Amino acid sequence: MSLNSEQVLNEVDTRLWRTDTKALVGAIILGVVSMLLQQVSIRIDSAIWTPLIILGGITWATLTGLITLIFRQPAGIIMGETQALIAMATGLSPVALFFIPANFFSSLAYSLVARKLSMQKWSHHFLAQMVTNVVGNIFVGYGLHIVLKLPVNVAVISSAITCGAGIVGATILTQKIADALNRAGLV
Amino acid sequence: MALFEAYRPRGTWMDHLDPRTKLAWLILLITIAFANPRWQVLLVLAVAIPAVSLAAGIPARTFYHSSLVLVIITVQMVVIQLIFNHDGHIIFQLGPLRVYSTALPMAFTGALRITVVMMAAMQFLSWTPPSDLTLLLVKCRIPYRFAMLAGLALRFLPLMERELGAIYESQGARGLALDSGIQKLKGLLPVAMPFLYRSFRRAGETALAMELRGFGRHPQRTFLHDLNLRSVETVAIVLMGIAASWEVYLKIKPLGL
Repeated sequence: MSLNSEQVLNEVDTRLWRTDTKALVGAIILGVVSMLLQQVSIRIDSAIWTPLIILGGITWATLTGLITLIFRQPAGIIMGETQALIAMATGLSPVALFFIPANFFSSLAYSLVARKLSMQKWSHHFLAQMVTNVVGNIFVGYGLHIVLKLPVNVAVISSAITCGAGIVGATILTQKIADALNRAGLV
Repeated sequence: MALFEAYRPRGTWMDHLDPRTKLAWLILLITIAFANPRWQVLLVLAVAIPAVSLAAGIPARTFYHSSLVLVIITVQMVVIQLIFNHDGHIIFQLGPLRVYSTALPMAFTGALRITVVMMAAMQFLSWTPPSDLTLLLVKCRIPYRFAMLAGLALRFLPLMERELGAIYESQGARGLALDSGIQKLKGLLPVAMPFLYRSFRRAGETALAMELRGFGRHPQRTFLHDLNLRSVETVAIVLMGIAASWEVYLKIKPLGL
């Protein structure tokens, strides 16, 4: 039985792997977009307090979730690594080197959650973002301790605040933007 | 102001270097930056990297943006170390703020380390053509479908930078103020959302254009140019490998591994 357009739109996509041209090109373009948006947001964060990457964290988590949700893997990892490597070359953050493992594992974590859930409820987005942010911020927190020589407790508090803001902000934004992109027929 | 100077042929020795040699140089620099604790070594590298770039014909303006960023990062590192570093003896006290003897050297070393990593990565991107990056990955037996993505990222960076600039200008023309920090904070969403939607549209259009030109039609891909590693470069890569391994050995030796 064929599906009508609304059913197709609402069809639950639980694929882990997607290697069509649109997914791969989308990963690269959105990787560049992610880095450019973070140039803006992390600069605003830095003006407040360097170890706190609140806006940068929300932007990062939203784009990681969005790309992984829409384009799946390896697009999520490609997007993350593109963003991390350009961030390193442009001095986006002192801990940019640690974005490489952070983006890899957090995107993978999002994929694994998104594969098990329909991602059509707020709770699903919240859970996926919680896993993504915790995994990503473990690496960034370690980077704060290694590169900025922050005491462990300060690095943990800083990462926890970034993580909390990322979970709340990115859950809302990922859900809203994914819906808007679906309605606009852009995915 | 562009984030970094994209590659273009400059008629110098750099044009003839194999990307594997450039990659080995990048890995060596990053290894030294993280393995070597001496600020003197890091300072030499921080000076040597722009000097090598200038000798390769890369203009000094390439480092303008990064220099500004590095000044900001250095100031932040100094502030962080002054507040949180409690090693050594007190050299200065002002009310509750106590400055310890290791704070400034640690901030200086950290800032130099970041400088080396950032300039090395920037140097690699500004003297490696996108097509060479693709060939390099193909040589590493990565399928062309994925290998071409590295080159594509470098091609899209200036394009997307211009697009973001255009959105900023158009939102400014609509009356969105983006001067102060608070205004920039408020203006983040009105700028980010159209940028994101346009990027998704561009991704779809680019993918369609590539497929219409036969991208991925044939599994075997041919290239106009091939990579050619000269014997002198092979020797240089081996020497750089030995130097990087030696730095790592010196770093892990005290750990007794």
